[in-house]
Amino acid sequence: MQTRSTYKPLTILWLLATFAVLAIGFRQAIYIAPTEATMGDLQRIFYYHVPNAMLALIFPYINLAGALGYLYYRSRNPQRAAAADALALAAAEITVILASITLITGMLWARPVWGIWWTWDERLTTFLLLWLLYVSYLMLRRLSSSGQTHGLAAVLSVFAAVDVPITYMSIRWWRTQHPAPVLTGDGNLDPHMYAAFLWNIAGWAMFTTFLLVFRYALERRRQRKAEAFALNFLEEGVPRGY
Amino acid sequence: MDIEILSRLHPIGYVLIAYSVVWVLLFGYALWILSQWRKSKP
Repeated sequence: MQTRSTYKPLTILWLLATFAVLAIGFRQAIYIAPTEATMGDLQRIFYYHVPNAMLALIFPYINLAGALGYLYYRSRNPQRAAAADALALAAAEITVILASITLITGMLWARPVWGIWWTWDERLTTFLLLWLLYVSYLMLRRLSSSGQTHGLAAVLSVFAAVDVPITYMSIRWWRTQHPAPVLTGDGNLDPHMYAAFLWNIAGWAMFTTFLLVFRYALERRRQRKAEAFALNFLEEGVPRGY
Repeated sequence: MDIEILSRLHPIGYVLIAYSVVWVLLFGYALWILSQWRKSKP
């Protein structure tokens, strides 16, 4: 079994590697990548916007896996159900942050390039819907006090995950104002720009993986604390007649 | 003088604001987890 003394150096090593990759990504994005012919320096927003948008479409599936795990285990193995639920919560919070980043950086790019902050284009609308779905998932968990909260949240996450492929395919299915896919489609990316994209994808993927593990560990710790509190209450409360 | 010229941000300004949003949100979240981690010590 792993001990705390093994985890700490591994975490520090992971974070050092992450910051090194992010520093290279920043240098590539600002100083090394060539300036785009039509958009100029504004195109450099893409080096942060695209990796975070890609991750915002991956984390909902981790949330879905956690939700399905919770629904499967809740009547079979409460410990595994609690672990799956903690994973779902961690992934949902990171999804909301990544989707917020995608929407804000997208608007910061759109204002000078399109002349508007927002348009009800299919990609933007489905992405906003994605953000709203995961915010509502977190609100449901936070505000509902019924014993069914975790089950209801898991069902909501199954429906929310349906929006992910629609968001991903929106720029392929419909003629949208949003630019074509940069890395996998007709975005005509200059080969000199690939390094900036790839370093930033790697760096933000490493950092969000760290966040996922850290947030999961926090939630598991809270669950164990709540469980110990409940057991303590039962042990002390029952003789007193509660 | 066209006041629009003064209010128009330099393109690299938009880039730096966008990058700051990413750093602040993701690192702010990491710091929040760290603070909750310390509070929830058994």
